Amino acid sequence: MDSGVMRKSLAAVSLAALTMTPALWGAEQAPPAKQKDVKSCSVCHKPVDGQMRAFFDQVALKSDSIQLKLDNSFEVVKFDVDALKVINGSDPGNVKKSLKGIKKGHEVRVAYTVGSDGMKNISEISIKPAMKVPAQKQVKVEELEKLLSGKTKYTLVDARPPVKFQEGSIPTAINIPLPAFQKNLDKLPKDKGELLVYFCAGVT
Amino acid sequence: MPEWNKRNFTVLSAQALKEGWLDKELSFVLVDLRSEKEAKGGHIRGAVNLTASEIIQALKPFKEQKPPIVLYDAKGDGSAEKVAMTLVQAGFPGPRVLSGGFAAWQGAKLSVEAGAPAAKVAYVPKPKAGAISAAEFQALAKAIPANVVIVDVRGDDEVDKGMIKGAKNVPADEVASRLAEIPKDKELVLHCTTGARAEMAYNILKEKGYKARFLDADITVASDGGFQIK
Repeated sequence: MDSGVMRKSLAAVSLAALTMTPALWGAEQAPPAKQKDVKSCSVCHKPVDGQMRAFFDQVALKSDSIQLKLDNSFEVVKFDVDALKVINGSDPGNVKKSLKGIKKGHEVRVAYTVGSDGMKNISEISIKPAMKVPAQKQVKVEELEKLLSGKTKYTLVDARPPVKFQEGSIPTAINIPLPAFQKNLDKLPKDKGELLVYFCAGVT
Repeated sequence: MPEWNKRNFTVLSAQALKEGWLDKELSFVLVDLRSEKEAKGGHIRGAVNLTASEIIQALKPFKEQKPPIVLYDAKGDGSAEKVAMTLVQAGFPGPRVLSGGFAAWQGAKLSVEAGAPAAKVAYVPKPKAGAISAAEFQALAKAIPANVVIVDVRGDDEVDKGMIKGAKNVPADEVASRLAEIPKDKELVLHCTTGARAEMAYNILKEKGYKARFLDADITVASDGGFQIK
């Protein structure tokens, strides 16, 4: 659903793997008033001065500018092609190609200083790498299809935001958005041995 | 999810169809797969009435635009799911199916449209916020009204090869530092060559309280000021 993102599709994580990272669930409180990061990033990351987490929208190499998407708006930031550090870029050593290679909607973190014209000049852009899910804990789409049509008991959890769930989800899935995970433990099957399959828009 | 959609359909509830699609006035194709007679007796707002055999042909002209598709049958007996799978195979990934069909919609007591639904697919992708249509841009550029300023946000080297007559040049990367030159009491119409820089300039100006729109299209400007929009 994530605008044709070609990352590996199905984040399937066992409950054990999720509960083993309590730090992930600590920051559930309301974000501070002057919060610049997009909401979904602030679930896990605290805002840092001089940094911003947002979705990559597009790059214009002719004007050395990048447009980032925030929750309800866009922000244009500038860069110096000779000085910009691209972390996790597709073409190490090639800033332009790496920037062109970032998918629309992908999570990025930028480090910036504010210039005299009020624009943010970024010195660094870090492209969020895919979350590493051990192979034995991953479920392939083919296996999921079999699960849906088979007799094995399972619970399928859509961890995306409700808005995305409303737009359409995998049959039989229930929606437990990641930020509200702990409040919804009662929705999970009582039998802890039952197979739990999680998915979202891509492995993040 | 993207991988799932390549080879499967997804489902949504009646409430989700209302809140997630209709209430938001999103652009999508809602297909009523029931008979003409049933659809006439009441359908969901905006639906087009197509049979399983004609749906692929009817959607073909829109394939490139990748419209979101939502299907519903009478009571969720699996017939919409079958159609959804034929759509996937025909190259329309991730169609959606209303769980429980029209019966579920009625069961949720959601509003039903009377009369005959559309018989032809109409789909116009929603333009980006702030975008101006090519036709309106053309009309404005032909005779720029007194309250309108066309701002060419391309770089110096590009502008040297030709500019629309009467347009003002402020390169996109200089917009923020040259705000004083941009009139706040006029309606600004921005263009570049693809729409990318114009959109960025639009977002910078909007943030500063300017009235602006931008051309979200490919445009080439000739040395005599004539231009072509693709």
